[in-house]
Amino acid sequence: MSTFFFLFRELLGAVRARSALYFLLSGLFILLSLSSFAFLLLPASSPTDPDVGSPSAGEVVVRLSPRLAAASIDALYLQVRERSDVKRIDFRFAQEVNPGETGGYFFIEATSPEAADDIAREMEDLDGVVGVETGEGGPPKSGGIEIEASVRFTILGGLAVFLGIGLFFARSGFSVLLRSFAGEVRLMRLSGVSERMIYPPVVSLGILLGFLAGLLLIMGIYLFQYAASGLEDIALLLSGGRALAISIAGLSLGIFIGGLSGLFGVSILSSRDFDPLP
Amino acid sequence: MAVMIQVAELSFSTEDGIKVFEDVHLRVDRGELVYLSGPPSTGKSLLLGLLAGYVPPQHGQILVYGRNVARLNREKTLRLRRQIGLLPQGFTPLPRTVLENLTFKLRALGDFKEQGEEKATFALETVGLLRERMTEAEELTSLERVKLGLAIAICDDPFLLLADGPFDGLTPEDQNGVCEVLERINQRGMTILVAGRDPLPPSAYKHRVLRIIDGGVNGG
Repeated sequence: MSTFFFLFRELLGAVRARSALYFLLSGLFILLSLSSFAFLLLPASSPTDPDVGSPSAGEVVVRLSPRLAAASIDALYLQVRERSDVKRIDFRFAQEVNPGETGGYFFIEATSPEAADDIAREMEDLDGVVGVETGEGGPPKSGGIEIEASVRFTILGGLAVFLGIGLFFARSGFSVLLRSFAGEVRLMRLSGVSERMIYPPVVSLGILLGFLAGLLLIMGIYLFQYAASGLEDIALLLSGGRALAISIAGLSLGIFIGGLSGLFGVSILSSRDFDPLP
Repeated sequence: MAVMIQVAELSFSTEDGIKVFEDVHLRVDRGELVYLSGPPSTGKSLLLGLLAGYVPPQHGQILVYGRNVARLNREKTLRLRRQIGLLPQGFTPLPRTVLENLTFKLRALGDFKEQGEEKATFALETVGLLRERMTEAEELTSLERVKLGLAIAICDDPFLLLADGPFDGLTPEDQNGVCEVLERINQRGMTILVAGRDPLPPSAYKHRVLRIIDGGVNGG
């Protein structure tokens, strides 16, 4: 283990301006490809009401924010139930309606379609209500963003391009770095150091690159979530533990891509420039 | 006396079919200092490469310290290389200090820092480079560079030292200086085979000298 850390430190110490620039560019493009990947993991639309079915005339569906406390939901529930224009009110957890979604729904049956409109108007103004739909069968009156399929295909293409560029820069970085480390590699091979000792630091450097890109992605996701906390529809895209799931998936992919770039580095070592004897 | 190197019926041809060695027999005893001379491009470096297991033999038998080089698997070949110190032709030191050149090899082989420095110091003392241990390798003279190469080769205390062309580009005085260092290393009990172009320095003829001529080794 001490040999691994020694060689890893030596390899890091051999990074100079040119190889550092290549690695920086590689990390940037890996980050862009991870961001594209993260975007593709977002739901096609913010979970408004597509799965609750269109309410019929005289019915109101109210979507509640996952941030709304249970006590507030209870209070709101009682407040609505006490209204004279409400025949019936049911509460359902969002997961029951749309797995992966958080928050809840009120399904309200009003005494008349006019009363349903009144209820909807009043509910819209309340804190913690992120969407209200009435029996007209139209789109939700508030909330909901859509990510079109064409946008997703564009992003998928972007992911492939960014990944390709990232790996290209990683290979260039490894090429410059390892050529400045060629004397050391030749000496190790001349001394009988096993390839199993020479390769891991190179692959690990690639993994470190991907790991750092993954960490930046996670920071980006949580900064975005924090910045968008006031915008309920956008925040809902990352709700329900989705931010954590995307972060873990992004970090894993980053490590995988980094490992792949490290293997590119290892492939450079098979060049004759690294042969121990002239 | 125990045999360190035993070569029998060795033949070797290049990919173009040019015969480099034909029926070569060679024996070097343990603790011996032997010089191998010959004109350029007669296969001196190739022979050292074969002995150290860098080049697989095509025909014949090569025994180094009782081990048949041709039959060693990858792991055992690596282990053999660790027990052979090799100074390659045209050796170029790493762009580090003299001491770091040695400690890099030792640490890569698994030694801890203190242990590596101790071995390196002993090797530098043997070749007479201890005073220059903190000098940058690029600042060394040609003779000192050869000494450094020898120190790197012997720092892990191998049982065999193979030196390829240590006299190349040196003045006659420096060549004798290299011979002195080789004798000092040999006095520690290490077996040494040195390959050099004709003519070898006069000091070399105090020891057994083999000649490679026409694909064979005379005096082997």
